[in-house]
Amino acid sequence: MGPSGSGKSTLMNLLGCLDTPTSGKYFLSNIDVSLMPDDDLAKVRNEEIGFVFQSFNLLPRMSALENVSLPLVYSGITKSKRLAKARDVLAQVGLSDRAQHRPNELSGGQRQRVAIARALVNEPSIILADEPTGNLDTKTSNEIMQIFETIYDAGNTIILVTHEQDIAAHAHRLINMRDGVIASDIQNESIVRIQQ
Amino acid sequence: MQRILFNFYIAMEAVFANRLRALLTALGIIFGVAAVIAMLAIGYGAKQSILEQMKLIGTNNIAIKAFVPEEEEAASSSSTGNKSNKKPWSPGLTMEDVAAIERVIPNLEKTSPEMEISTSAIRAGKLQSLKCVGVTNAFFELNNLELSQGNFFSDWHIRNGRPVCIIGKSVQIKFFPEENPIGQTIKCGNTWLTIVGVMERRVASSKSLEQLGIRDYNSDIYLPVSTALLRFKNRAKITRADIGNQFNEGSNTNDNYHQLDRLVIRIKDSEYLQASSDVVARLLKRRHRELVDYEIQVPELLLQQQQKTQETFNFVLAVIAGISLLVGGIGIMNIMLASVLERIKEIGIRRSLGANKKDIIYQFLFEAVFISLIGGLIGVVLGVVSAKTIASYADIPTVVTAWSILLSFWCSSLSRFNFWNFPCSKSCKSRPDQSLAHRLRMDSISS
Repeated sequence: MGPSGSGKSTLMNLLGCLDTPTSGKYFLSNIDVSLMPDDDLAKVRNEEIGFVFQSFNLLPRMSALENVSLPLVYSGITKSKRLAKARDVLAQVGLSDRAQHRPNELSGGQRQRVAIARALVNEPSIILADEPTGNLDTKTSNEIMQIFETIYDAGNTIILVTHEQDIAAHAHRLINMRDGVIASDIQNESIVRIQQ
Repeated sequence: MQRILFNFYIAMEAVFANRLRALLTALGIIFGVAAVIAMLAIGYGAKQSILEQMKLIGTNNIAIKAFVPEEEEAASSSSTGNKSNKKPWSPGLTMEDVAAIERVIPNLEKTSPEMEISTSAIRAGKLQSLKCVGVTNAFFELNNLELSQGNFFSDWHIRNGRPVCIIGKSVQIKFFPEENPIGQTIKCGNTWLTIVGVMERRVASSKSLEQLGIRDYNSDIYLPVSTALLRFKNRAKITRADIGNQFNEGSNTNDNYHQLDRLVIRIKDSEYLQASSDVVARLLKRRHRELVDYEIQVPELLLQQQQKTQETFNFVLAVIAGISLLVGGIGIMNIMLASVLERIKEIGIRRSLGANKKDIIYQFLFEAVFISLIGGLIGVVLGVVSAKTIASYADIPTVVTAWSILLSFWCSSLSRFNFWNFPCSKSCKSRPDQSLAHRLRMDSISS
């Protein structure tokens, strides 16, 4: 959490290997990724990290199913396997019946669920979500958070950036940022326990 | 490999998803290629037609055309011996002029006098009005005419003015559709002529013939010039003895005027073409008593002039076609720039999902190649069609050559490639997060 300009997104980009640090090092699963060449970074992004964006960032030309299967293309999986897997993941987020729809035929919540499915399809260890509920109403936000809870329970790390207190309340660890530095880093298990 | 295939598939999909944009993009290529092909076709066609004309008139020739002033003709018909006319009297172009030219011009190769008689040919109930042309054997050589049957005139034919003739192919088809014409006779005017040879068909467009002022050789009957002088008497009063004198220099038959309609002289060395024609002009002027009743043309020099004009014209055409290609290219860049934001976002998304730079490059490469290929193909078709249309409507000969198609295709691919690659390389250089951030900023502006 943190006000805008506090460096949340920059940290997110660094964690997601979208950006490389100007100084310092970043170890991901004990590998220094800060010095990796671009091709290797692409591979890390493909296999280790799933992205969920505020504005969904789906490709408008493609159906939901194709959007979800896109990361598998870049990890070199055959078409039939790709589509089968994408269909499974779409079912996980409850969108089996929307597989052939294009993003502009889906509601905001559905689009975000497609985006989450896309992030999940390669079974990454980390999911980075940059204000995933920023463009959604409260009800859909709750639905999306529900899905994140399920993913978390399945054993994934989820790193979520948000402005909203009640979204942050879902997290087990709360990092507050201000002016590019970490202001506080607290365990939040009590809140979680209360909610449960 | 699979990945490359998939990139290809993605590219195709992108093209077909944005058909209008792809079409607009290809439009520049289409018109550019079409313009280049049509331009080259016109240029090459013009060149070909000049070469064809060159072949028709032969090289190193000087043509002298006689024209009989009408009053002269009237005067001569009323009283032939009236030399006390106030106007200078000229004997017209005669065999004596030919002899004189042969004497004077140093590097003369051949002279070919021509005498045209409009008459009609009759045989076996068929009649056709045509031209009988009195010539020597040099005529056939100078005009690159071949015989398909029989022989040229013999010395004996020429010396004695024998009633023999060589007929054009069309004449053979008209009068002797099935039989062998050699040895047969045909009546021209009042004279029966024995056919000794048939000419090969000369293929030439009527337009180039018209431009050069050459008759259609195929429908003429050719006879020795001596025969024409002797037997078609309306042209000149001439006796057998006179003909003998013609070939002995220095004969002086005053009655023998306006013999020839045309005289073609071939010079050995093209270097002296202009000089020789000047000498001929002075010589004739003197012989014709300052009366210019003839016209001297050097077709080759005229054609060279024409060729130079044509080259300038071609250059202008090339520049215009080049500009149209360039404008097409700029149009492409314009469209690409308009869609660059969208493409940058797409690249950002793909990169965040694990595409490396090569994937992106392949995708855009395939897209560019595909559109330029299709655009180029349409352009080639359009270019060929417009070349044909120009040929049939504007009556300009056009020749579409393989290399012109290849050249324009290559040009278009090149320009297309550079212009399309622009957004691709631009966004590949930026980091994926920047291309995404760019998009996010765009979002906040639009919303």
